[in-house]
Amino acid sequence: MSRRLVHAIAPPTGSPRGEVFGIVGPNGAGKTTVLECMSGLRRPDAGPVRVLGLDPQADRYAVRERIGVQLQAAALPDALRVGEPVTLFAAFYPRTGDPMEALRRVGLEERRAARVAALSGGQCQRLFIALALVHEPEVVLLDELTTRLDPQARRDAWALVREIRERGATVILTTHFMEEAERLCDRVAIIDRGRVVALDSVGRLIASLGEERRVVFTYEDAIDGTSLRGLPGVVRVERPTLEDVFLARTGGAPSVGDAPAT
Amino acid sequence: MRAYRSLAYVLAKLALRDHVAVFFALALPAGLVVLFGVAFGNAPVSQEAGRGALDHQLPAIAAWVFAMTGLFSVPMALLGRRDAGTLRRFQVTPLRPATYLAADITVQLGQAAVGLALLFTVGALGFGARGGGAVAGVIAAAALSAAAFLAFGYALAALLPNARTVPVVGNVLAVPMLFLSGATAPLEVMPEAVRRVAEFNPLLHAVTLLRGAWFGEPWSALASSVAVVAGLLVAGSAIAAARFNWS
Repeated sequence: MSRRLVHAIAPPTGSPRGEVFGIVGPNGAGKTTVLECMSGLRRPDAGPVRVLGLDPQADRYAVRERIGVQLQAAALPDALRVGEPVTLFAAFYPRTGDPMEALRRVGLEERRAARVAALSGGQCQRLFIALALVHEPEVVLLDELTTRLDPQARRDAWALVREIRERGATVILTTHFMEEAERLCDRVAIIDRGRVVALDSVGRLIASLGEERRVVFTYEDAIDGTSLRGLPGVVRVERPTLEDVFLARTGGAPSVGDAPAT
Repeated sequence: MRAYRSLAYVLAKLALRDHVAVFFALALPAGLVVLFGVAFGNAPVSQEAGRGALDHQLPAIAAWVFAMTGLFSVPMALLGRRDAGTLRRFQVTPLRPATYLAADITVQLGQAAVGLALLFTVGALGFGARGGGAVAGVIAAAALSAAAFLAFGYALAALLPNARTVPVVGNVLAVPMLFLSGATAPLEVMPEAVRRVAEFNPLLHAVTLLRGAWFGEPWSALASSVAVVAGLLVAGSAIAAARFNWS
């Protein structure tokens, strides 16, 4: 079912480029299935899958040495200390950097003696990112990385994903937050019931709906949206969301500041 | 090799941090020896070679420890990690299933060996228990029995759906195994049909094997018990290898 999608997102062999590729779609669309096929956890019903030019089933260990994966449902034993799984996972790969460097990248170095059970949800996800990065993979697969994170932890995770891209790895992530896909991804595939219904850069996908410009006003008092909506050419009127309030009050970057220019 | 060493090290640390498992693997067997020794002493009870109650019971307790390791500790550890998704996370690394199993077996065997050494040390030093058999023979019999029950445990882990079913199935198997082992109630007083069934009890044969080696009986006299215990090892390994699943 996901043949076209997987083909489209494999970077050219030998020249991994930094890209964040998003797979979005409703629950049950097949987002996780695509990542499972790519990591060799699931055998595709039909059609070839290639990751870095290799077959994730036939060449599973060769593929797994070069990809880093964060799974949706995975837990580490509570009794482990944060640094231990990072050192352990480093030993699984033929070539690895300093395991503590991976912890530093995700900002958990100071917590390396803490029990895994004592980590918050966001810290736990960061630990799993560290495990996925410990061998400097060329392709990083992230399955709903931010689903259970609070808005601030979500923004921290986005910063990490951008940093992975800057180092030259290709990131393939699934999400059902459109805002996340819009801000983070270079290209996005929208899938629905196992089929790719759109695949392009974020800008072009938005433009494909027709010309649209966003104008942001800041008002002291509440304004009546209906009068604006009545003006010719106005497609919609948005108000600040509760998430904007939450971020402003809890120290996160106000979302207006980093809204994409359209 | 690096993966095996690191994994065995981490699994050993996890085993030591699991205080309940440490209690069952190390403290309980030694504690049973103390209880038994205090309650019954080790004065010679039989005419044969002046052996006491504890002389007879030590190898039986050792066999029971191996059986409990296989019935509970091995499948609990493996299925607990499988249910939590830890094994699935391992699966997307280059770690081979055989390497994981080798590291897990190393830790489980190590734990059984320490429990066994503790048990015999407490029995010998605390209550003067003596077998008379060669140490090498006892170690060989213990290694075979331990390996067989570990294989049994990995087979259970491969067949059971999740960790919650382990205490249920473990107890359903443990009670008749213990009752028909000859170590709790003498089989001689049981009806013929029950004794027939007991012939298939691997724990009975592990007790016979360990007791025989401990008392220095010739291996030829233990051949049928060796065959049953080795059979369990082969069958358990085959099921575990065929049905092992990361998730």
